[in-house]
Amino acid sequence: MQEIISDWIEPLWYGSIFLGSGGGGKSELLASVLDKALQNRAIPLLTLDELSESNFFCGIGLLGSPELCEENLPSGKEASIAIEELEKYTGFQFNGISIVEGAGVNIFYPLLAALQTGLPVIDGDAMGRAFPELQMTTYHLENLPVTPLVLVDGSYNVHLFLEKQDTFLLELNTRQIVCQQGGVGYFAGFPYSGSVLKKVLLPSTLTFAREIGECFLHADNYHELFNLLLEVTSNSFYGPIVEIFQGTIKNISAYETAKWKAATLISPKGEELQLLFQYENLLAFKNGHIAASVPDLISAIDPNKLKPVNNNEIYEGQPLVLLGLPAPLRLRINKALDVVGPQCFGYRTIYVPLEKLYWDYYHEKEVFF
Amino acid sequence: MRNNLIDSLQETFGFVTELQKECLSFISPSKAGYHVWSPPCTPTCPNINNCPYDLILSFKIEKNNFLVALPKKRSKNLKITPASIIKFLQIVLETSFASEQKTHNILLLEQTLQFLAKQSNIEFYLFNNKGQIILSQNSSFVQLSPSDIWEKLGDANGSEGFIKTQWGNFYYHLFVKNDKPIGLIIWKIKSFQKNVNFCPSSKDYSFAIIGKNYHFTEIKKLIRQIAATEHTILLQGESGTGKELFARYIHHLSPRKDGPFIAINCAAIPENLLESELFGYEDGSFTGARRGGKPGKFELANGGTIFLDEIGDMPLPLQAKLLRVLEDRQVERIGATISRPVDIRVIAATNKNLKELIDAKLFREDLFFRLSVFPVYIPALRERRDDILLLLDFYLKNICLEQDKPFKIFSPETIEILQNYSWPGNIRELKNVVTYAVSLCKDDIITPQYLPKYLQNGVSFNKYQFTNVKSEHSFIEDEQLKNQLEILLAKYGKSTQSKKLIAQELGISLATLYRWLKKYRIR
Repeated sequence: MQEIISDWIEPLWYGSIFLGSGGGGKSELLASVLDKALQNRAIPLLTLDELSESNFFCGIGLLGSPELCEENLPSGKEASIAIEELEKYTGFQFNGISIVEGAGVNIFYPLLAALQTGLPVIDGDAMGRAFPELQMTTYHLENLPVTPLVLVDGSYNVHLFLEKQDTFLLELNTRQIVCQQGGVGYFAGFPYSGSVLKKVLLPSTLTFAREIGECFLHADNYHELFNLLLEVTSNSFYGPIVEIFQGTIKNISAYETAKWKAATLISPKGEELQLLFQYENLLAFKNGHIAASVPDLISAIDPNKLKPVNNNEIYEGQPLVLLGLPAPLRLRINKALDVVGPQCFGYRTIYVPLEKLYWDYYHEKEVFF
Repeated sequence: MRNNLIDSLQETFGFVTELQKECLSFISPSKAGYHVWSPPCTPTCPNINNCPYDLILSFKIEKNNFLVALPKKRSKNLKITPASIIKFLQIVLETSFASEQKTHNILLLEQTLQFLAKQSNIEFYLFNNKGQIILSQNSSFVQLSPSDIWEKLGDANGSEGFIKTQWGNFYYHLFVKNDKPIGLIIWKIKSFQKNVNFCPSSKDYSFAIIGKNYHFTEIKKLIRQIAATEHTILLQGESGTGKELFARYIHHLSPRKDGPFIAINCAAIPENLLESELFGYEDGSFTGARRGGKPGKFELANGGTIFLDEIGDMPLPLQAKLLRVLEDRQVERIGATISRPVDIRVIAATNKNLKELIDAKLFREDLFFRLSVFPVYIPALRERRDDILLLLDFYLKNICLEQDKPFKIFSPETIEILQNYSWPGNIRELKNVVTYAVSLCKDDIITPQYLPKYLQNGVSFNKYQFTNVKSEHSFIEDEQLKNQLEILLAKYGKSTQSKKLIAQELGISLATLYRWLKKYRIR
């Protein structure tokens, strides 16, 4: 069994931003809190193979605004209250914590909860990236409910969602409470046994996020970074990265009537790319054609600082490289695209995989298999 | 009429403008018919880099001269589409007919269409009324049969629509004059898959060989280190472990990557042909030899890498000749009196235990030492079980893409079967199994019923255990394999097609199957 120690935190932080695909929230403060806490402690990390089939685990995460969470840092106590309540109502004793959204703040908050409760964390997640809604998980694809779920708001009020209910309705209900109660909430839900989680969770998300982060720490230049990322992503359940665009941000705008925001990037040659995002980067257009689409990840990096960039940090004039990372297969089957495809965000088109958009890159080159 | 034509063009392309006066000194308006310029109009134009136009059209109809231009900066929403091309042609043709100037100036059609086709990313074919292709633009080799097209049009109704061909669906537009067809254009938008999104960095990077198993990762590291050298490498491993893949990988990582990579399977070529394949021959060196002689694989690999697969099957006399090539870097064609120098890197591979062959006097010891400067052992798939899931995912993704099918996943039960299987045919077998399942399964989720029969329910798990067939032989396993081969031959037959099926079922190459049949003297 592996352990998460303080050495993990910096690479995990970079990895969490990369897998955030622009969203997932800022996690710098939470990461530094963990770094300190892990100086003389460790969190046991369970691979999916190591899960005991009959043991029960619960999913932990944060709902609402990660920015508000940074202003009023959580301690992990919220999750420990939620877990206790969930144990009370389910009658299960949880043997570990599972991560629901393996990106951004929601990688770190479950670790804080693990420290608070002394429970191990599972190396896997149910989204494989950042997504904005509770139903955008692999549980949903297996028709497994989120409930029973316990939500603890910013003032430590406990809200119970015990009956099985439609995940979309649950999303609306929890969001309503979070909005009324300070904009941020912490939940414990998805109470499932090891045998279920082995089938449902996307494997190795934490180690993958760490490996991604290590690339940023070891690279001396962009070329090297790309090669390192290519090696790591090729040997993962995602797929080899592809460079979508290199340029600087020309302008950032928000569409008043919709949730969409757009950043226009311009390359040194004068080519333009439109990056459309809500919280996460969802679509990219180049020369009027789709250049990447959700659920594939579109992650921005600063080629000079060699750091991944969250959408909170982008500004006009900023140099950026956009990298595309094919989403795990489980998110790209038709059933999953009904929940996480471009249409689920209001864009009326079918999903086109990166491997098809960059056919030459992926197929006419030497692909070693 | 002038205004009508200009208005029609305006409507079609969004915006056209009168040509700047300064351009007139470089363009002489057509004395008759039409002319089209795609800037630069002349090499002497001072605005060669800043020309504001995409296209300049010159017409002379009924003594009126027209000089119109399409500016580069058009409204964002207006694009040149195939439909606008058709409209444009119609306008020009109709204007031409209206004025009774029956100038069939092909130059206009050619230049305009080719220009516009490039702009709008289409492939098209223009036929005259005799059904001959007079103009086309296409990126791929398509052999359209005009008679087929006209035949299909006979079934279709109307002057516009689409027709199905084996190269995809084409839109068509029939030009009709006095109820008689005068021409036909068919077109389709080029596949978006290619070249739309050019990836600027693709040249510099290479993909990795898939595998995260600790020992396998160490091998990859070793390979990366020795790839840059000029050393001869001997790859050892069972059939289907990816020896040729590793050889390609080494070539790709080496300074020779821009040179040729020539692979030859020493076991798949009959003994008497292997020598001429490897070394080439001079004119008239033997009956049936090609005139002017033929270079061998060594010569073809000059400046690059030669990969000698199944080197253990090389006949002894050739081994001596190969040894000379390795020592002197010179090859002598059959029947030649002089040697030719070759600049090659040699990578050899075998699935046999060469030391055993040396003891049996079937392989030269000196050649073994010459080849095995860097011996690399590639583990069998069962020795890196932790990679099975990753490899399944990798092939599943790529095979769905290759077959242009929606992505699929394996059900947990299927994964369990595949993870527990012994994979005697290694990665080749794994890839075959995934291909089989993807081809049959129409759903999102591949359940065990879509696996080859011998894998279903894990029944034949033991039946097909060829685990140690090629390395540590045991008499019993040899007997098992022999029996199994006989059963399969009885089941499928002995034709080449049947043998291909058997090889596929066993997850081995056809060459390996032939070798086994020879080894066990099965006819």
